[in-house]
Amino acid sequence: MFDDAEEFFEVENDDAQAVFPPLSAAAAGLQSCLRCSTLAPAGDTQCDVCGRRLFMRRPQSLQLTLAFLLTAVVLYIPANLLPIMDTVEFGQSTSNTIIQGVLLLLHHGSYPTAAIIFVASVLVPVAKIIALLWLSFTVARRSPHNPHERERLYRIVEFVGRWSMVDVFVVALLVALVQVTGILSIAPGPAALAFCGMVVFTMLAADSFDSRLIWDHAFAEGALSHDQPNKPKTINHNEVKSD
Amino acid sequence: MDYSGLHACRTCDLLFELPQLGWHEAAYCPRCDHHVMTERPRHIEYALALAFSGLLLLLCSTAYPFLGFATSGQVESMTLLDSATSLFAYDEKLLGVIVFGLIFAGPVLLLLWLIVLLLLLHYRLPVPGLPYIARLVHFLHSWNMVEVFLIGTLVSVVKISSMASIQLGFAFWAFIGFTLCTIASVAMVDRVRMWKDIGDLMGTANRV
Repeated sequence: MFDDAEEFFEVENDDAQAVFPPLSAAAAGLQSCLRCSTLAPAGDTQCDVCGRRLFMRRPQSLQLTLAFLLTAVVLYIPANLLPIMDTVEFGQSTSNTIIQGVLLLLHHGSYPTAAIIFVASVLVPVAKIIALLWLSFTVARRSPHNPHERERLYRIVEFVGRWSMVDVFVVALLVALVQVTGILSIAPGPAALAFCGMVVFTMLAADSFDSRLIWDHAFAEGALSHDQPNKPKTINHNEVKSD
Repeated sequence: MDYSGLHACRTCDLLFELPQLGWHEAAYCPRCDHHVMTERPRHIEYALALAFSGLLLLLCSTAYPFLGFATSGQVESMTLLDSATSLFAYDEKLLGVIVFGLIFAGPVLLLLWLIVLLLLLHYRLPVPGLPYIARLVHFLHSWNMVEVFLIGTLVSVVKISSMASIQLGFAFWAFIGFTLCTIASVAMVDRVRMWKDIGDLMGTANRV
């Protein structure tokens, strides 16, 4: 089962030339499985526990991320320029793009809904694409700066990915619901599929990016010290609740 | 070699010793603060109960009207699956398949295989296909979007409430229950804990 892009495209593993920072599992000659977090010695190709392909860092991580991002950028254009749905009222058809839909909602005074659609469909995809481009750029430049902030940005991008699908679901629901023959009906527009594709490809791009690359360069120039604590922080949620 | 006491952070690759966690205790990476794992008592049983309820509620929500739409004396109602199938009527076949997968096929398979996986873990049965089932659950979970669809329904209701009166069907409430159960069920199963259990059960020497 191909549940990861690098398995699907059978990209070459390029761990051999890489130099890994101290304190990392890679520097200790261990590779951690991305699916089940089991550790295996360098050189193993398949995880003993879950069978996933093993590597120190995702092979060709940046290339895959950029390829998926480019696809998403290309799809973003029809997704925003073409109508996402056509409303047929008494035989008269009006096409609405995403932005026109938001403006219509503002006109009707549904500000919260307009805000949800605007943020989820217009702002978030652009912000996600720019964030991933910037993260890839800093990793390609081997930037040692702000690993914590970049890590947090990556986690936000990963988390919000799915939420852009809201607009696709809204179209699907409205098409099914508003079908009063001869009076009022809603048809899906060509932008719906393009938008859906864009969301899927930005999710794949975020998934292909290996965030450990951010930390690999962070030891240079004293951005991180070598005396990190090696005991994880633990929080007891029962104690927190009883406070 | 045995690395069972060691853990490498998934997001920053810091190597550290993972201590024995008590109930309700969560471990976070000392460097990047990423959540490593949480120990929950009886998590398999809770997750199992929630997954069963979720599956029942999802089946309920496909059998009853989801939303109703009344305008000019006409009342139209739709079921959950209509939101996927009506796209086929407009020849948006690919989109219809994607929506069907995301709101019905994906969640049903996720819950079914999650139930199978949890039952096998509960009764400690090391059947050969166990890692494959866990991989399938892992994959279906990463593409699970039921809560996004729920927000989508709320947005749609607000969007057309100015055109006509909207009736919330029984299936709508069942779907809310299904969404909550599914989210709670998958959140109960800790990824690292689950694979540790599977590794112990299968014996890590077994090549998959």
